[in-house]
Amino acid sequence: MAFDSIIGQYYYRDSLIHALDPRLKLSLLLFFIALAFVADSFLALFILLALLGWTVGLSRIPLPAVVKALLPTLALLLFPLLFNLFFVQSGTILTQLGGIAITDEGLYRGTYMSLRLLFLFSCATLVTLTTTTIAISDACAAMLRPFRRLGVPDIEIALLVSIALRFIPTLADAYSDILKAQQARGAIFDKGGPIARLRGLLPLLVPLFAQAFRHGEDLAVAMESRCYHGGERSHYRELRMRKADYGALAVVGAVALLIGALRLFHSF
Amino acid sequence: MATRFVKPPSPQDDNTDAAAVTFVDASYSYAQNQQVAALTRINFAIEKGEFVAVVGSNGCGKSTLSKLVNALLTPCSGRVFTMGLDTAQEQGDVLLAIRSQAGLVLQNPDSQIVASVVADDIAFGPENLCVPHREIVTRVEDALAAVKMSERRHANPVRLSGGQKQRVCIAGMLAMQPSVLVLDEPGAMLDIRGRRGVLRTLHRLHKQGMTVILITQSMEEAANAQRVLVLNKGQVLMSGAPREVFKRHKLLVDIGLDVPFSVRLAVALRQLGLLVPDVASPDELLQALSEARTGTSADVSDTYAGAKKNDIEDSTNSALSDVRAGVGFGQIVLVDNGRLSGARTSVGAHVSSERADAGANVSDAQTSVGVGSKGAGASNPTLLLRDARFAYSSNDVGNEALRGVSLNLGAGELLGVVGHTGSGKTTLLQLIAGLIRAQNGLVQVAGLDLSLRQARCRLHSLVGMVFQYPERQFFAPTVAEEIAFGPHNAGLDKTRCDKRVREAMRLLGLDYERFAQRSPFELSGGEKRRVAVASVIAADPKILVFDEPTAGLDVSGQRYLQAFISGLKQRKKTIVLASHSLDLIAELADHVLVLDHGTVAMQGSPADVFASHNANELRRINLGLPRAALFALELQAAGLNLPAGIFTVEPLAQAIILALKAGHTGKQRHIHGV
Repeated sequence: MAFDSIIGQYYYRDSLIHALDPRLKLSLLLFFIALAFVADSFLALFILLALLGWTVGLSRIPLPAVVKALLPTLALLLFPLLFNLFFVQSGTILTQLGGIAITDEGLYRGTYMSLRLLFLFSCATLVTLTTTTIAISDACAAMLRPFRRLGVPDIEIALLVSIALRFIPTLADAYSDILKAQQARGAIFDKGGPIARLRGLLPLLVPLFAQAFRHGEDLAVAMESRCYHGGERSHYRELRMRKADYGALAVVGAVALLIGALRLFHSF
Repeated sequence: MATRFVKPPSPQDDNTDAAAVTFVDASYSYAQNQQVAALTRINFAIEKGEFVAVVGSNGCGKSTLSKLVNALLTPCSGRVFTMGLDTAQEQGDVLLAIRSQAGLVLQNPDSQIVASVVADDIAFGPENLCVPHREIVTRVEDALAAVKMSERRHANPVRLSGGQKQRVCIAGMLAMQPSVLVLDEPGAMLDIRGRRGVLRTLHRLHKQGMTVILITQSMEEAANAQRVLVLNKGQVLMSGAPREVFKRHKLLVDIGLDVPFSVRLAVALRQLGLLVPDVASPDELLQALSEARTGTSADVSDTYAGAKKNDIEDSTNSALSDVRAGVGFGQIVLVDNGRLSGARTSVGAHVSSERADAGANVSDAQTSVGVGSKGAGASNPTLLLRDARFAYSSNDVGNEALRGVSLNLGAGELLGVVGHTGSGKTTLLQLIAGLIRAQNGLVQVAGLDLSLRQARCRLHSLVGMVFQYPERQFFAPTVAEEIAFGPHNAGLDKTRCDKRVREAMRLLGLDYERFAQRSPFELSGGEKRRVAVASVIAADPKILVFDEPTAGLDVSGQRYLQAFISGLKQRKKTIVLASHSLDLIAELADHVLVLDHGTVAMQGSPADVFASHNANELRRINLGLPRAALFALELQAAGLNLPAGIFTVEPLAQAIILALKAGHTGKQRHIHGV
C-alpha cells in the first residue's frame, strides 16, 4: 500500500497532456531541468511556473491530487528555504530569530531555490501522473533503440522495467504480511549485536525471496503461455509524434527563448 | 520495422471435425521432481464447444494436463493435439498458434499480470503475436467488454479485487482469440463474489462457443459443467455427465474429493432411510423431494424397501441404524421430542476416520500441552471490542478499514468472521492479535488493553495467529526449526523447544521422524499448511486466530484443518476464524460476525445470523447463506414445513425426514377423514 503513492501514481484523465508522446515528455522533462537552472530571476521562474500551471490545467488532473502527489517532497522543498534563511547573513537584516539574523537576501535566495525545486518536482510529478509506467519504459526503450547495434537489449530492458514496476507493490504487500506474521510468532528484529540483527533478518528476507521466485516461476509460465518468445513484438501504444506534440514543442521552444533572452537581459 | 504477424494456421479449416483437445496415450513425468504427479497413458477428447470440469486432489496431474494442452510441456510419450495441432511439433509458428488457440489461466492472478495498467496487460499476448497496432486496440476493447471490465481499462491491477484480476487474466487470453480456455483452479484464491464473477464469465463465453476446460476443487462448479473428468494419480478415473460421476460419491470421497452439496444431502437422506434418486444439482434434489412430498414419484412402501437395501455399512453408528429401522414414509419414528437423537451421518467412512484422527490427536494432547499452560493461563481469555476503528492511512477518512466494531467473546468460544475481500476481516484479526493498534475504541484481549504497547508485546505469547497462506512465511531450512521459531523467540531452552516441536507436530499429524529434518519448502500444499499451523501451535497460545485457514488447499487438506480446528474447539480454546466458506463457519462457529465495508452488518449465533429473514441482507453484501440454509429456504418455498435455524447438512436431512413424515401423516389423516 505504501508504495502505491510513490510508484505507479498514474492518474487517468482523457487529456492533451496524457496523450503526448512519452518520449517527448521525458525529453522535455530533461530540458526543463536544464531550463530551471538557466532561469536565474524570479520573473523567469514565474514564467516557468505559469507554463507549468497551464500544463496542469490542460492535464485535467484535480489540483488536490497534484498537491497530494507532491506532499512527500515537502521536506525537501522547505529545506533550501530554511537553510538560506538561517545561514545567509549578508544583506539587510529583517528580524532576529533566536539570535540568528534573518536577512532579505536569505529570504530571497531561499524562496528562489525552493520555488525552483518545486518547479522541478512538479514537472517530474506531472510526467508520472500523466504517463503510465509502461509508456515510460516504452519511451526509454525507444530512446535506447539507436544503441541496439551496440548490443543494448532495448525490448528486454523495457519489459524488465515494466515487470519490476508491476511487482514492486505486490512484493511490498507481501513484505508487510511477512513482517506481521513473524512478529506474531514473537520475532524481534532490533535486538543484539550486528550479527544477531543480520540473522534476525533471515525470517523476513528468505520468505520474501521465496515469494519473489514463486511469482517469477508462475510469471514465466504465464508469459510463455501468452506467446512471449523474446523476439519482435508489436505495440499497443504506438509512439508517434502528433500535432499536439509539435505544438507542445513549439510552446516550450518559445518559452525557452524567452527565458534565454531574460537571462541575457539580466546579465547586462 | 518489419513485424511478422503470426496468423494461426487456422486449424478449423484444415480438419473441421477435429476435437478441441485430444490426448492419445499421453504420458508425462517430471524426472527431477517426484512431488508432482506424472500423467500415465491418458486418453480423452474434448469436443469443440464443450464445458469440461477436471477434478482431482492435489498432485493428481491436473496442472500437468493444463500445460500439455498449452504446449508448455510436451508429452514424453503419446501425443496431444490442440485444435488439431500436434503439440510436439517444433516449429515456432505452430507453437505460438497452439498457445494462442488454447489460453491458459493460472491460480494466482498476481503472478500472471505483467503490466501495471489493465489494458496494457491484456495487450501483452497480441503484442507478442505481432498483431498490428490497430487490431490490438480493437481486440483489447473486445476482451475488456467480454469480461465486463471496460470501465477499469486504465486501472492499476494492484488495486483490483482478486476476482477482477482473474477476469483481466481471462481477457488477456481472449485478446489472443483462442478457441479453448484452460483454467487451472481460477477461483482457488478468490472470495465468493470473485468466484461467482469468474464462473459467470466462463459460462457466458461458453455460450458464445468457447471450449472451456475448468480445473477445479469445487464440486459445485463441476456440477455446472457439461462433463466432469476425474483424475486420480495421473490417470482418468471417470469421465461423464456430472450426475453419472457424482453417483459414485463414495469413490470420489475415497480419493480425497468432495461431492456437491445436493449429493451430500441426498446421501445423508438416504442414510436416514429416505430413498432419493441420484442427483447432481440442487434443483434436481428439490424436485425429487417435492415429488416425494406429494407422493407422485414413488410408492411409500417402495421407498422404504429401497432404504433397507441401501448400503448400511456406511456407518457403524448403532443409533443411526436404530433410527433407520424405524424410518419409512408411513412410519417415521419420532425420537426425543422431534429430534432424531444420535443420528450422525457421514459421507463415506474415509472422512469420519480422518476426522477422528485429527480430533483424537488434539484431545490426546490435552493432557500433555495442557499441563504446561495451567500456571500461565490463570487469566480468563476473552475478547472485548468496543467501537474499534482502524485506518491504514490518515487520508482514509470515511473509508477506514474498520469503522466501529464491537463484539464480546467468552473463553472457549469460536468466533466466525465472514465478509468479502476488503470488508475488514484481516484487519480485525490483526487487531485482535495485537499486530496493529486501533486508533479509536477499545480492544481488550485476555484482559489486556491493547492500546498499551506493553500489553501488545505480552499478547504475542497468548495469541497465536495463523495468517492467510501461512506457508508463505517459511524461512527455516528444516521443518523442526521452522516450528521451533515461536517457542525459541519466547525464550524457551533447547530441550523445551524440542518438546514443543514434537508436540505440535504430533497434533498436526506430522510424523517427527519423517518430517522434522525435511525442508518445509519441498512439502505438498496440505503438509505445508500443517507445518505452518504447527509453528503457531508450538508457542502454546490460549487464543487462536485463523485467517482463511483452508484457502488454497485441496479437499482432503480442508477436511483435515476443519477437523483440527473443531478439535481445538473441543479443548475449549478460544478461536477466531475468518473464512469465505459460510458452510465452514456454520459448522464450527458459536458466534458469527458479518463484516461489510468495515462495519458489523450483523452478529449473533449462527442460527440468528443465518436465519432466513437475513437472506436478502446477506445476499446484498455478496455473501448469501450456507448451502444448507439456502436449500432449506427453497424447500420451504416449495411448501415443505421445516423449522427455522437449519444451516448444516445433517440437521437439514433430519428435518426433511420429519417434515415429510408430518406431511404424510397429515395426508393419511386426510384420507382417513374421507
